[in-house]
Amino acid sequence: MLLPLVFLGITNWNSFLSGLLAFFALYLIICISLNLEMGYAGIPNFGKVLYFMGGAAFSGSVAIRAAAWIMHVPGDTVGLDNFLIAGKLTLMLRSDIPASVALIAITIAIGGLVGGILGYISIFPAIRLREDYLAMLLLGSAAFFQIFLSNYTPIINGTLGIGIPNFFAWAGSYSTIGATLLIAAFALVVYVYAERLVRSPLGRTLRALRDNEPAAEALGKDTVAIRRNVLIIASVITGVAGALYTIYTGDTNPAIYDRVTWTFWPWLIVIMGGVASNSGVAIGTFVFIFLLQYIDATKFYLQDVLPFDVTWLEYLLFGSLLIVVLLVRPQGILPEKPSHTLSRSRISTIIGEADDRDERPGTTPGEDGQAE
Amino acid sequence: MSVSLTLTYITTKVPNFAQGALVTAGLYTGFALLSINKINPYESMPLSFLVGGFIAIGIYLAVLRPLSRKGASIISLMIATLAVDIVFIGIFGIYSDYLYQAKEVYDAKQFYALTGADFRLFGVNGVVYAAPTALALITVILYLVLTRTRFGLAMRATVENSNLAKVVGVRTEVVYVVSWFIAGGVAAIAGVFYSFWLGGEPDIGSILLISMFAGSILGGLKSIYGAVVGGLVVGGGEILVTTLGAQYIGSWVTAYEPGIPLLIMVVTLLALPGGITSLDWRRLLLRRRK
Repeated sequence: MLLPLVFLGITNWNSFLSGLLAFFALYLIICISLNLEMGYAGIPNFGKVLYFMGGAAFSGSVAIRAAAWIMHVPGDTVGLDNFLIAGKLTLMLRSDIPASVALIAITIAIGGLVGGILGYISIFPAIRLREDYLAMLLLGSAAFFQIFLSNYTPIINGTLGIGIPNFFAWAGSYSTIGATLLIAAFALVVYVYAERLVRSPLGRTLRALRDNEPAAEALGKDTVAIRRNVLIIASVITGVAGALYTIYTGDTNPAIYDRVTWTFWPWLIVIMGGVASNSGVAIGTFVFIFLLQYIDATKFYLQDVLPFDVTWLEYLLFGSLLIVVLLVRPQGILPEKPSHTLSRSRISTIIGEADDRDERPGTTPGEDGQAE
Repeated sequence: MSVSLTLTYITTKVPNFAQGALVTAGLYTGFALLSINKINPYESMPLSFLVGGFIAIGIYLAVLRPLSRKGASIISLMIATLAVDIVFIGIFGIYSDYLYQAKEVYDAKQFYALTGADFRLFGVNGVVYAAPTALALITVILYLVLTRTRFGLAMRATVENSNLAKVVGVRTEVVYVVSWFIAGGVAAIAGVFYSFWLGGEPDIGSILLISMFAGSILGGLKSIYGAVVGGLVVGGGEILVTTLGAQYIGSWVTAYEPGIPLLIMVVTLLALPGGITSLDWRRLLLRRRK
């Protein structure tokens, strides 16, 4: 009885649901990567927006140039003629599926590459500095990068931003759904990858490193190399998320990449869902995105009553939500579970196989065998 | 501003990402009183100080103290202050919309330097004299309080080792609350000066945060006097480099002004992680004399 009441007031169901899926998938990618850094490797990345912004802006910049080059459209692609060229290219790509697919691949690759480069640069402070210094530095770098993009016009035309052609134009009226499904597919891949990673020996090493670094080092783990790898992997994933977002929205503008939306909200989601718990993060993402989309779809009702912009209420609501979660349930909705182990029968099978091998003639028996 | 950040840092050992909110609080208190009641921000400065101070106490008592009592990690505390900052961006946004619509203050969402309300002396705006004077006053007062009063002694003891201070009977909680109050007030006053110089908007605090961090880090995050020097170097560096850069390279340089505190931060962290106060000046000078 309650559920239909909650849904009351949503006028456009289609856009609500497709927006829900797209943003759920997008935030899932970002939050899983943040969880890898913060939850498992213990790197507090307060500059998440940096990698997202880099991936989104550079991939958009390269995408329209590549499209114009492939389609032989002359002109100032990221300058004055930008929107004209983007529109023209969309029309041309409508009948050219191979080119569209190639351009999607290029965009995503550039996003990952730029994210990776930024991640590589961040290694230097990340392995040297204490958590608080690192947080300040990354937060500051992200803010400066946004200012840089707003002022350096050759990349995305400064504060004006650029439009990029619609790479799903061939799908006709299903183009948004196409982009949504692309993001969803990536989210699934990232989720499965992260889940396999944390169950692997590397995942257990990461937890050891986070919980007791000297002990991990004493056992011969190269902590610097492991941190470096995780940071680069997470940055590449975030950069790809940026590229996917550019493909989805069809434009890129420095003003989009604020630290509230792309740094603070992922942190809120990861903490709310459960640090170092991928399934928890997935649930957290869904809860958060559902609330956000619901507020978005119904806020015009409130807008007529309130003497201020409803967006500010979102800030108030989600800011307080994080404080409440930290105070009341710091472990999140689904807390971190103990490491997964193999099932008992599987272990006995392995032991059995090992015993067989020892008993086989021709092989040298181990020391255990001699003791027996 | 850096002074206030350092003050909160040395007491709670957490970089306060909500420090920008305190600056904004002072800035908007001054602005609202000027626009509605026509009170000069210089006259309303004590009120700004109180507003900033009480908000800071509120943040400490409502968020940071309960969290650290539950044994939260430094990462949790940092993200909590970031959340407080986001909440305050919402509050100032609502407040500026309210000023705009209910009080018909049409520049509430983004206003320019309040030079009209400033006095002029020798053809220069008063803030040029007032801000350094205030900084010197604050530094001297803090110095006197810290070294010449019982409370200052209690505060230094709490900072050095709060458990030991408790054992000898210092009420560390009172010390924490008072330090946060002073820090909030100082930040708010810095906000008022800023509004004379460059104007303001609801999320101005987040832009200023880099400069504040840079100043504190350069000052070593542990010493108030270090923060004074750090703040001066960062602020001076920003203005000097951009004016010189605009003259000799081109006006586009000014747009990258926030890069200077970032650069200072990076260089400090790589070359001198303890800040300038960690240097042994006496040894350096002696070596030169030999």
